[in-house]
Amino acid sequence: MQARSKMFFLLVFLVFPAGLIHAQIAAPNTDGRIVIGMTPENPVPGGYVHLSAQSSTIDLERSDVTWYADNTLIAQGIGQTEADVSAGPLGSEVVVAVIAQSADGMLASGQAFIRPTEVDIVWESDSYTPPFYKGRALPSAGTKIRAQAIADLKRPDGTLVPEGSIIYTWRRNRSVIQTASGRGRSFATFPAPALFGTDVIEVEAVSADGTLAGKASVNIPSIEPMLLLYEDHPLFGILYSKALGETATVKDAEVTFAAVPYFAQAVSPDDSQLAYNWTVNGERVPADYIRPSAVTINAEGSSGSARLALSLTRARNWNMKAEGAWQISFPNGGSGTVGTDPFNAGKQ
Amino acid sequence: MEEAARLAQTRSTPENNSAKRNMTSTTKILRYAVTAAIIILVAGLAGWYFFLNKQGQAITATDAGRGLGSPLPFGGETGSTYDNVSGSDASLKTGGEGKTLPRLWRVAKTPVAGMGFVTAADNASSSVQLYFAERGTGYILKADVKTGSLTRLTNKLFPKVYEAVFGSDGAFVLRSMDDEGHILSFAGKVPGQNVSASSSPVAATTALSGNYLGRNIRAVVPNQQTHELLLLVPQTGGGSDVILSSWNGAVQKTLFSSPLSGWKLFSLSDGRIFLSLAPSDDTAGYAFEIQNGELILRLRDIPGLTFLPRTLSGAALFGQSDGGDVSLFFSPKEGVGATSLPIRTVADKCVWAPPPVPQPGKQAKATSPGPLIAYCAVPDNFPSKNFLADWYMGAIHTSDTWWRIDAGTGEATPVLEPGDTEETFDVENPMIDGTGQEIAFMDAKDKSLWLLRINASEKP
Repeated sequence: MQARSKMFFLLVFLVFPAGLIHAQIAAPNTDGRIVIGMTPENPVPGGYVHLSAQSSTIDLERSDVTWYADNTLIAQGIGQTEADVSAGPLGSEVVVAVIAQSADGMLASGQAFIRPTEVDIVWESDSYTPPFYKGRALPSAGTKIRAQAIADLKRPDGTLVPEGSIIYTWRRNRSVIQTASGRGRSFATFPAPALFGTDVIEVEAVSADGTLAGKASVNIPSIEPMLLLYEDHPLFGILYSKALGETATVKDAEVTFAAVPYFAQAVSPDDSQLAYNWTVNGERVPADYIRPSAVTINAEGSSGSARLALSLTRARNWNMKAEGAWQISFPNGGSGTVGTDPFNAGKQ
Repeated sequence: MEEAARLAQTRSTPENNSAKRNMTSTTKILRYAVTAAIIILVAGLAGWYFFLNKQGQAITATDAGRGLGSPLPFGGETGSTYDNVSGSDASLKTGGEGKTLPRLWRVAKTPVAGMGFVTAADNASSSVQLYFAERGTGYILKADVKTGSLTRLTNKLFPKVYEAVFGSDGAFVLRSMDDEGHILSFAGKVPGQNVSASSSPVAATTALSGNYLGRNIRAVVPNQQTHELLLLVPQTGGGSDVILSSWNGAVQKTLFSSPLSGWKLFSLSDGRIFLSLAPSDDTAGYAFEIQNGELILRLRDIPGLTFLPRTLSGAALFGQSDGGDVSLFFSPKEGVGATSLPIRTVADKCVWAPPPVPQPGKQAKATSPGPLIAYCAVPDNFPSKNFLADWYMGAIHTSDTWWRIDAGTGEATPVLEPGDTEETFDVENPMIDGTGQEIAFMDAKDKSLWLLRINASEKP
């Protein structure tokens, strides 16, 4: 009878908790304390949560353990130290309580709160992509990664914790980046991984009062810059929609080719830090001083094709190197018609 | 005596004779020298003349090759594009009432920078016209989608226009680059333009009028309902602002600021604004709605996400590019699980059929979402494992066919019948008119402009 009344008071106490903190909490009780562990530590809305109980004051393996979620019995049994429950939607709260009674009548309890949150990391690189490019700028060695944490920490009353009230902790390869972390610091900049490397970027977002928390991580690999070649047409400009393949045919006898260093550490293709090394049929061609990313080939009076090769390096960045080679077929005898439709070149 | 003296003076002495001979010899040499110099000069001038003449002929030949002396490519009623129009029979040029345009009409062979549907505002029997800008000249032309007639509206040369957007009232933004690679955005209207169904094909061209918006605007998206522009403006040192702007840029309001700059904007006719992170194969993508300056998550953690929200509805199409596999999904509304659709394409190649307009012809505003019908161009194959990046870079192209998707049932049916066309195209920048009967798109391979007429029986 005494044990039953103890359990009743414990349950009442657990169902109407006075102080709420996130995830792990042990309710005070007269006999012992149980700590509830949750996996994942920061549940997502509707996600599956695995609960486990641990106690240093009571032998749970030999005790009758009872689990409740929002007053509903979810598991019970001797040595029942684990249970599963589903998290609610964003902004919801599930109160988990566990009560254990040993064979000698000793009672212990614990409680936890499942408050799902959503935290995501969106990111991009400051590497070069040409104007009007629709894809994402990807990181290569020497560039920077710009990352922003999007934290949806929703209280049970439906209000969102404002960004300025969230404490962000950024980690790069598990090391805390103190300079990037702090209250309201949802944005961080990191150096891109070394060539062919991958960095793990993590962020933990905790509300200032500690009741809500979430975590996100992302693996960001570093790629090699890509060197693509386009015709720079006098009427239409750079034909970004027609990258030249390894073998290409042009219609005009004189053509300007523009190289575009996708994802390179550069502010423009003609960044003064970039060094272009052009060769035509094995002969080195000095790069244009004003516009080193472009080369003009005049095949007037000659015939056949030209082997165009390009290597790109950057001063003070030994990891950055991009190369490309293209076999360009010009009109026979250089008799191309000026102003022919470049978009249909090579179709005939 | 005096005579004797005179004779004595004139009688030459030996010294005098010698001096006279010397003088005669010098004169002769001088004459020879002058004569030789004149001959050399004349010969030189003759040689120079022939040299210049030869060079002039070469220049003339080159100029002729470039079109000098040819009839002007403008000044006619349709300008340079007309001669390149597919099926350019007289009926198209003169309006061709009664002629039936093909279901798939190549409006312009010459590269275009962009297009937009413009609805006649001053005509009870409203007509839809397709405005477009030429890539090489920036000339703006309109195509009557019923008659196939083309009219050039502007004559100001605007070279190398990479992108053009149009409002439903005919306003436009031409996007080009300066010598330093900065993006320029020229916003304007054609002064005195008559956006009417009955505009004459011989309408006089008029000058472009407008003004430049700020430099380096990363994206310009028109709102067809409010005639405003949504701009993605870079911040100094990275990041960007999403700005709602009047068409001329005079009135601007910052809706949202982001530390990132690679966003794609969507401005729906119901006033909602979405943005999605610039796509990349195998890389998590996100889509958000902007509400009161805050980002409201719409889709999260989708590899290679391409996104297309639907007006007056919570529905969206989204594509996924993951591990070389491209697939398309339908999300009925936020928080509800997405369903896979039976076609493989990216959302960039799709358009939503517009909601039904309660009173056609009076430009009434749609209020109900209507059936969720989408039209998608589906590539016959994906030639790359990194389809999005390679496609955006212009390294690969596809051959597409148009499909009609009933998102509610997941049913997909081809739009064109076998034999309707043998043309192949790589669809980009598709858009649909307000009645849901015409789809305009560009072929990414050659930037030509196409118009697809949807069957009446397939109207949503």
